[in-house]
Amino acid sequence: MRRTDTIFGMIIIAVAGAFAVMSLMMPWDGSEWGVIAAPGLVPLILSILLMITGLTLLLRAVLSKGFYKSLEEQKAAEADDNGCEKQGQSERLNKEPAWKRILMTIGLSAAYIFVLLGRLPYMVSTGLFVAGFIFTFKGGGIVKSVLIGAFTSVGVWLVFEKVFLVALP
Amino acid sequence: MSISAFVTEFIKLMTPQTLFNAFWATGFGIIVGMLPGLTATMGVALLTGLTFRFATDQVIVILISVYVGAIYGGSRSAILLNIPGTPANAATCLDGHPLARSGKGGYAIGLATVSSAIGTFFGLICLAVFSPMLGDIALSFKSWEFFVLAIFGIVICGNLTAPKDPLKGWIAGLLGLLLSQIGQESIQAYARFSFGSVDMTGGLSLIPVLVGVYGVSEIIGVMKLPVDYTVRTKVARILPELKDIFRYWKTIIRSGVIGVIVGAIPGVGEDTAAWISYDFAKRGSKNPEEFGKGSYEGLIASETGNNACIGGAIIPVLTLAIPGSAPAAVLLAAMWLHGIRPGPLLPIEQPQFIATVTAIFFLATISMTILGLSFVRPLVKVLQVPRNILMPIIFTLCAVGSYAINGRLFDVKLMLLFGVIGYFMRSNDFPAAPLVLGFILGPMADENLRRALILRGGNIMPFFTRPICMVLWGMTLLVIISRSPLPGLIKGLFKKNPAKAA
Repeated sequence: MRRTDTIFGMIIIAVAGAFAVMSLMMPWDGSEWGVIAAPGLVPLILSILLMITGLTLLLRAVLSKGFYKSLEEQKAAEADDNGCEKQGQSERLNKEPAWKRILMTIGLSAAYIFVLLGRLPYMVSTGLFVAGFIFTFKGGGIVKSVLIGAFTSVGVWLVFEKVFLVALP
Repeated sequence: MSISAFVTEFIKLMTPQTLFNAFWATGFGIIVGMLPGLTATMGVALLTGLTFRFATDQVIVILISVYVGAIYGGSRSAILLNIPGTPANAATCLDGHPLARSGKGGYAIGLATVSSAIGTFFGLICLAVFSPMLGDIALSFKSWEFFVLAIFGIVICGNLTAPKDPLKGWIAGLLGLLLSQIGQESIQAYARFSFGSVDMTGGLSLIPVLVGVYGVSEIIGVMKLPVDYTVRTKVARILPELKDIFRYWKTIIRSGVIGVIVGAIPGVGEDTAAWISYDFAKRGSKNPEEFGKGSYEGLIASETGNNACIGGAIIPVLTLAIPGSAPAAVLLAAMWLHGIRPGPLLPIEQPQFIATVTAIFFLATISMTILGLSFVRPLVKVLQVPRNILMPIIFTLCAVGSYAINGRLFDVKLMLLFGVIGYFMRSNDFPAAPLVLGFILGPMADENLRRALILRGGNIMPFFTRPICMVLWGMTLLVIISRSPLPGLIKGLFKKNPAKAA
């Protein structure tokens, strides 16, 4: 947690700094009211506040060991007290480590949105995405994945374009 | 609001179209709430996009019905799977699942259904009574008060949604406020942070951000898990005995009050209401040792509290245009999209609207109770759909919902971006609620600060001298100081002094 807070603190300071610089580059005297109506006023104030809180997070992560120790003790105590049992065990469906599953999920979703949608007809792109996702995460073989993908894309198209009258990508 | 106004509006709802919409939307909400990986916010956001072309009155019926159904629906998976369907039902796991393990899953669902109905009913009564009262106070709100209210909202939301580390809640809130500044601003029409892009000039749309943070991030979180879940499908008796409900009448009233109060606090939401209700029920119970082992009282407390919160969350939506919870934020966005302007002027511009919303709530409560008690066994089958198959289907619905409002692929890309940001934030204990609340309150804070300064020629004193502002600043400072090391230091000083005197 200390390490991630250090990284997050640095990211937050960087983002806030970038917003602050961009706010300062906006026109500050472009209206009859001057600075008080400037478009950069509120973003600058917020950027400064975000930088202060980001710096506090970073300094706490770097300097304060006691805070993280008590946080970990609290979490450990809650895990013991928690009446919820662990999830029921059933057959392990996916043996990849967690980070790989996260990347696969994000990667497949990004491929759908940035590569397929808008370039192929909606039913084709959605069918491919759903089939590919199910197959990659071992939800079924090729035939089952393609069938579910096809059913989903046709179903979504029918319901949303014809019933809800919603334009599809 | 008079009883006759409520009855008039309720009778107006008795059309086949409205009844059909209320029932299917409540059923949809129950299914959304039941499925881990889907949240009430996502369900309401999805349908906001998909019902964009529907008539306004039907949209409000549908969205409120989904909201009520989803908050209740999560109790099913909490009881049968030991996984809360929505965060609002996390406390229900503690006593609901032990009851399912002992073969009383159906009874637990029946208790949850009746408690949720009572909680929603309590919330709607408070909505009907307190909204007009708060509406009168809200008429005194001017630019100064709205700005300070936005600050207070972020501070208290950050504090309550990240109790162990409010600094992260405040960072999330400030980030939301800052990101909401992207796009064309309202006073000089300057395109801020647009980088020459037409899409960025239009700003970041709320629905894709909400669907991303609450929907896509949940999908990533669910797909991260290595194993599927076991469903306890044995469901015998469902209808609870009245004595099991009325024995805990004090708990019900207390949880209802807590739910409404927590709901009225900006951005905090049903999960906090459920936990606080549960905690107070345990402290006040004659048998606290039974909590966590299948206590009826614990189950009743959490489900009454989270559903009462719905009514509480809508009070500030209607009177101040500030959401009391994330799903309420979507409801607010939907109202704006359909030309309804919640806020202090609502009782003047649309005097019957509060009565209409109360009547819709009542209809949704009836639908939820009927569906909740009658469709238990068939709906359990839905829980058995593997997540490997369900999640990509949900993702395509999220994409459609995000695209539907503005017809821009940019919004779908935004949804994915916020989904990834939301996932990494939440897995590092940065709460999502302040981010979303900041996103909603940002334009309000920006516009009102600059307008107030223009009105008084740059004088900032009214922000600190107007009575409502002083109260809000006082409450803000109280919240910040209570989480600082200062109270501990002062306590330490007082502890040392008696020892010195001795």
